[in-house]
Amino acid sequence: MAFESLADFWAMNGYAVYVWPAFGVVLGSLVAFALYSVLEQRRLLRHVAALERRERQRPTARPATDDGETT
Amino acid sequence: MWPIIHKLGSPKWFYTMSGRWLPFLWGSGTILVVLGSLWGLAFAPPDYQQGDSFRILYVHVPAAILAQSCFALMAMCSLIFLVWRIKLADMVAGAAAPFGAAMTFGALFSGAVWGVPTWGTWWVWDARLTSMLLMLFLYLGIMALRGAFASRDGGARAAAILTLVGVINLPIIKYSVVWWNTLHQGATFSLTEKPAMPASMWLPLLLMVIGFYLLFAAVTVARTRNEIIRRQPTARWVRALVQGGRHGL
Repeated sequence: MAFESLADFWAMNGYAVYVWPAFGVVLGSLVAFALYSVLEQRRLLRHVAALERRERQRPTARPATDDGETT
Repeated sequence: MWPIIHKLGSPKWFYTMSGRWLPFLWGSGTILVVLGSLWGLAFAPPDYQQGDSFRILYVHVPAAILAQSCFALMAMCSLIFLVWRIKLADMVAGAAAPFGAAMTFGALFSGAVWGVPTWGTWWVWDARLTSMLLMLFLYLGIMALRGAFASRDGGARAAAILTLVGVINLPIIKYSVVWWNTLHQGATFSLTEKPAMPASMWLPLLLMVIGFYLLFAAVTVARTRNEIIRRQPTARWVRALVQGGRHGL
């Protein structure tokens, strides 16, 4: 380790106020993108399942299509 | 040739293939970024002039590299979309844009907080910083333009054209530190020259750059898959996927 103590590490020998926000913003945005894309996928697949359930109850409402384009 | 392009441009084929790769991309990217961060923050030796403030390098450089690589990817996809009308290329360009904007902001932010202790200022209107700020505005403009049209195809074409116009900014960013007198230092990494720092300093940076690329690939693939589902929620193969429960990460 390049620091003499854990306290020195957290303090970055005086540069904590610059180093930690820089890491926080960049690594934080990576985490945010990962979380958001996984949550979004769950939401979309639930939406597809709900569409299908609704259609099974009303068979003529919205038939499945080969390419599935909706607009 | 044409059957291959057709297959590569098929959303169904892309969804199936990418499902196998995605866990590997998330996993390896996360491991490299965690290792690179720990190494860079705690174990790399401090810079002889900048002390421990130089550790900002380990997020600043990868963010800046990814910001530019993301734009280059979007430009290639835009060209493919405009010339061959392959919709998947447009979906990839749309999926990548917010990540590129975030990396551009991250590079600007980490550069600003690095500038305070090393340059004595958080901002100067020099060529490198200004061209990066311009790229942030290009990203935001491309994203806004995509949503500003009543028809999806109109927005996609407008975004693709702005991306191809904006790609002129990439060589300007790259050579800004060569063509103009600037406060910003030259390139940290070069493919042709030996690094100007010891291995204990550049190895963690290399891990970070590769890790960022892997996570960029993971995010872009995952967001493209979401866009495929969003555009085709009633396609038979999407239905089969939901019923089968095989939808990967």
